[in-house]
Amino acid sequence: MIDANAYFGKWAIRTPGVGDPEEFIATIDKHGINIAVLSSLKGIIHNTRAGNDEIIRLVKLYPKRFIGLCCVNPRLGAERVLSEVNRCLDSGLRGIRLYPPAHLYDLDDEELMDPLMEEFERRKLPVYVTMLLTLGIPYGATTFKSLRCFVNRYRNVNIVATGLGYRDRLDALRLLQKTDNFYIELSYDSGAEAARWFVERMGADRILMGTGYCLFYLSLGIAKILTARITPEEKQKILQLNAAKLFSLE
Amino acid sequence: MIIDAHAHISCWEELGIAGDIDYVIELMGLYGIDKACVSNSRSLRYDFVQGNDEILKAMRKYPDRILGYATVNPWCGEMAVQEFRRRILEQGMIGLKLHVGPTRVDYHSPLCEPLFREATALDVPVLTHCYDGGSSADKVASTHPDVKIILGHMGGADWFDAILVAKRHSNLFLEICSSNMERGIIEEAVKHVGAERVLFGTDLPPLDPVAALYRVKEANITEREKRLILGENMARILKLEV
Repeated sequence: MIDANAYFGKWAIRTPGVGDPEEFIATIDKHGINIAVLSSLKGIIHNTRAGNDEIIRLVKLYPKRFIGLCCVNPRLGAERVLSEVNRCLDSGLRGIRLYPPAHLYDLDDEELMDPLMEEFERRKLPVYVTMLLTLGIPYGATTFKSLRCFVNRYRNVNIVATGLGYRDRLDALRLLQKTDNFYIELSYDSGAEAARWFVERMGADRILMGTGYCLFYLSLGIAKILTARITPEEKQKILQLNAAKLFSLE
Repeated sequence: MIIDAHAHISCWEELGIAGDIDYVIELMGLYGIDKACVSNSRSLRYDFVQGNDEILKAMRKYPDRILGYATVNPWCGEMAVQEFRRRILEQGMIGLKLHVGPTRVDYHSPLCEPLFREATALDVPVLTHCYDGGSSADKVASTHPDVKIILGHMGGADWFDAILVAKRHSNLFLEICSSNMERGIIEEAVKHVGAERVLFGTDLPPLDPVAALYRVKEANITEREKRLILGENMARILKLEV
């Protein structure tokens, strides 16, 4: 199984994080996760470069277990940001995570986003957009409207939305049906039968299993797929094959 | 036995989610839920008498699986109290559901006073929609210490505040369903108020039972504590034989 949305580190609110790589690996092992697509909480909510260093280190420690995402703040300027992106990707990271409200920019700011997205189009690597980390946090939420414009503008880049809730389903479905570069990850959709709801309406090809661990209970995201009333082939796509294709894994 | 202390019937058109009683029973079957305590979104949002009638039909269709909450609107005064009493005494409903969202009436409002007095007299629990960290329940819990008040959603995002509120009042119970899947919620609730006052609920069918069930399953608590949360506590509140 590939967990398409996992976090490493800590934050200042409520939930205990995980700052020990061995503890992280032991937990994903216990739940049968082979590979976790990992983002640094430090990078998302505090300091992008320090977070990227952390993820680079983790990927070097466990190259077969982690796929690392870098994180940048496009407001810091194209030259600096592209330099950081290239440093990260050349060090083994395989995509990027954006969290616009936390970094005080908008996805529809073309001046900021175009240089970054051109680089990811050139490298054929996915771009994750964080809609929300969880409820009641001070870092804000990305609006669906800005996500929709973003996906439509950069049609040659695969864009994964994480933190979509059940209230976003109708909008997410519409975007899935109109595009072929948009993927959804289900860890934050707590609504009834999320996987079945989407699979029945648009197939299983662009749905990813994510757990939201270390912020969320890990088993939830897996159980949501394993217990879903969909075919074994559809489950396999969501649990493994779609993410493998997205990251060009063998 | 697994008892869902917080479920619904009806539809949420704006979310693309609908759930009649047959769908509720299907979802319960998928996750091994033996009984569900349901209220009706129609009662909460529109006409509570019509909604309660549908709950009664559901109870009669699945008498061993479905337990009904009566829902009333505190703005309706004595008529609401009479409706609540009638549904409990004449039709076997198991408690009262109040929701601050559609009515904009806090639980500590004078408008709710007669309803909490009636709940005391009837000796039935009151399930509240609680996304305020328990602040409204905090004010009403000591005024009506004999009513078992269930904090549905356990305070929402401010779940730790709700835990601290429940710690102050022995008649408050924490019900765990919400979109908040943060690790540690269940463990913290058990640590501070004890497993005896934590209740399994799902909010199905808008929410998926898997979200609440696997929170309990994965939580780092004892098997006995899990059994209490998943059903034994609600059975005790409702005086059911397990």
